[in-house]
Amino acid sequence: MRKSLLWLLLAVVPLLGGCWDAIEIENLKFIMVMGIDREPSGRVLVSLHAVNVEQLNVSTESSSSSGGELPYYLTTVRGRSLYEAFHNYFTRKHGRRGHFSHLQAIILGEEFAKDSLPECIDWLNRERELSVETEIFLARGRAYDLMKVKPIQERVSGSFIEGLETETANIGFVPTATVPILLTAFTTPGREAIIPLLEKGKLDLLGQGEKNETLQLGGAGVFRGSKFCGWLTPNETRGYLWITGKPRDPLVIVGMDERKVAFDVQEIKRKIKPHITGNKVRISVEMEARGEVAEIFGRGPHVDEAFFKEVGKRAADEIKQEIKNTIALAQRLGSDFIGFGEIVRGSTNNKKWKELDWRTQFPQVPVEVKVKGLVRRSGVAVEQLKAW
Amino acid sequence: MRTLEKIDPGQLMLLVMFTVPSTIQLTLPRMLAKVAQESGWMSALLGSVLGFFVLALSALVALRLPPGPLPTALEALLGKFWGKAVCLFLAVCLFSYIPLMHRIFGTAINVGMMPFTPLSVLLIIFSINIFLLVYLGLETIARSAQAFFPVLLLFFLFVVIGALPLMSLQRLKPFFGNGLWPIIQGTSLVTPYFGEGVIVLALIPSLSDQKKAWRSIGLASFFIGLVFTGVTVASLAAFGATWTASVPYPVLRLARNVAIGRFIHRFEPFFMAVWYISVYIKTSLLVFLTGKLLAAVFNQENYRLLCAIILILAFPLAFLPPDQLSVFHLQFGFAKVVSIVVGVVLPLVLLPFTFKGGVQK
Repeated sequence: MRKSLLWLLLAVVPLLGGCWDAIEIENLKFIMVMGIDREPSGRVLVSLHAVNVEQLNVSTESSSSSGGELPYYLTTVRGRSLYEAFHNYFTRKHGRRGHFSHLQAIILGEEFAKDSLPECIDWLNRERELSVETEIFLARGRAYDLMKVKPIQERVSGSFIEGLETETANIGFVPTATVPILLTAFTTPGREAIIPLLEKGKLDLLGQGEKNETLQLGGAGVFRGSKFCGWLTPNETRGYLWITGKPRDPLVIVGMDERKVAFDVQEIKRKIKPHITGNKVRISVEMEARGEVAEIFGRGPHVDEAFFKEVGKRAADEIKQEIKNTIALAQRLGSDFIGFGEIVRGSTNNKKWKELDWRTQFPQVPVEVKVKGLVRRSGVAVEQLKAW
Repeated sequence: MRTLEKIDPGQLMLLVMFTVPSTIQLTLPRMLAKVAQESGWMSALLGSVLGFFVLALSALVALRLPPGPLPTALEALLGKFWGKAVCLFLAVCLFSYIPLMHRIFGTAINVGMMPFTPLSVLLIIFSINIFLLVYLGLETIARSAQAFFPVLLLFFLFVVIGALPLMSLQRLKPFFGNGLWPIIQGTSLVTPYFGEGVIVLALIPSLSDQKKAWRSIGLASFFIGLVFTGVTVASLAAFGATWTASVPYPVLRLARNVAIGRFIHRFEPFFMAVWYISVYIKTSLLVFLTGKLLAAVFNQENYRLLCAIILILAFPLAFLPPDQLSVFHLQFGFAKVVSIVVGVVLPLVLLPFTFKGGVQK
């Protein structure tokens, strides 16, 4: 028996040589950022930031002294479909397989996003190597133009965009869009997709004036079904985030006579209630924002309880206005990216949901917004310091 | 099968727990989302409750059989010819699962993780693993189940807890959105598979303490229900019904989407390991029981040779379904019918005999 077991074990040995489908790292071309555009001819233009491995280990100083070669290069491929462009033409030009496991950002051109987002999301959904954390952005105009901008702050473009998104989302000016988030938004009845807007910005570097190009985030693009339908300003985007999520560190600037007070919102409680009468829907949004005072800019009387109360009240008015503007825009565009429909559907049944005909009804749905602001803490200092 | 190897009640529970869910576990949320949309998880829950009664039927028959190994008991109950005939029928039914389990395993690994590895290579490795376990007998299979269980539990909890931030209860609404009928339809995708628990007919006679059999069956049903309902709730709450219905293996997809910050990503190997262990134990047990039953029918002493033949026969049969969708059809069509026949019809036929002429233990 022992002998036969030994033979059996020996027979298994040839199978232990390693993964059958292993791909050596030197045969891969890592992609960090991908831009997708629709060309006038209808073909798809895919721009890629591919890693330049040789430059990856070069320190910043020696890199700048040797002409500042970046650890990535921009390359483009075209095709009738996304997969054809990336898989066939990229491989033919680079002699290596493009690899998405380190892809940090995907930028969609406006023309492409107008009616091809579902195809793009479907492709990304099927892509095995893609990280679930890869962020998706919309470009006003062509994604290729943004791909050409070299970030000044970071050597690696993907890390720059990723950091930009994380920090801007923290202060509440952009929503987060990843493949799973977009797939859920697309497939959930009563909800539409929203994608952050990435655009060119000007940067004053070493006192040269605002000559240097950089990338900046703020605002978002929204969809109605699979079609792109409009843009949100950063404040309208924040209006959306007040209702749906919790920005990590949003700041509301409140005018108090001559002074400006920064109200740092630290906790949000919200309740969205649909009221259905017959086939008519009414929605009420109740929200409470609690936080602390981060800055008092300008001079004025003593800081006391009444002052805190007034700051809370005015901050609530400010937030309420942002929310109302966003809802008005959503209704004007006919895009329920806030997801009221999902909540309405959840409170009824599928038959009733069909009768409500949400896409038609949404632009006319009355939405009542109530916001309460509360300064819970004074922050590090209670009193405003004054010279003696 | 003529000699009895002993297992304890805990091992019985684990063997049933490994056997019942693994045929459909990976793709169940998809099928339930297609039939009952957001209410799919209610089908999983209700189906599991009803499944307990299916499992209990086999356990009741097993506990009322005359003492001794299953073939001996059946011969004592039904006479030599009919006893052997029932053994042969059971062996054929159990055998029919084996190629299907091979193919389910190979397809899931190919689709979920290793697209370029040939199916044949995966199946050869799988068969070799199974033969090693089957060669060592029931006690070793039971102990393997015991040894793997803590790891399996840990990985399972890891994935489910890791997926919590992805979930939204809103996506499970509306409750009863399409009424009760789709939920009842959905139970038909869950309850029949408890019929695979017919293996208790052969396992309960080997139980060291038969008084605890009901406890083991009850606990096994509870945990199976927890797995079925848990994976369905998690998939639906994370992806919503439409997306869940479009993914071949929602549970694997869920594991893939689990990420701890930007640090640890892609948990699907964890879940694949959990699933692989359960498929491995189940298929080994099926091969072992089929080999033992056939050895008893044909009066052979060496069941191991028969097990090797079973595995060799299962290999080409596993290639019969031309594509992945055919595998799904077999999982939710053929396997369901076999489970009903073997787990409901057969015990119902045997039950009157155990009352009429059977020896009460």
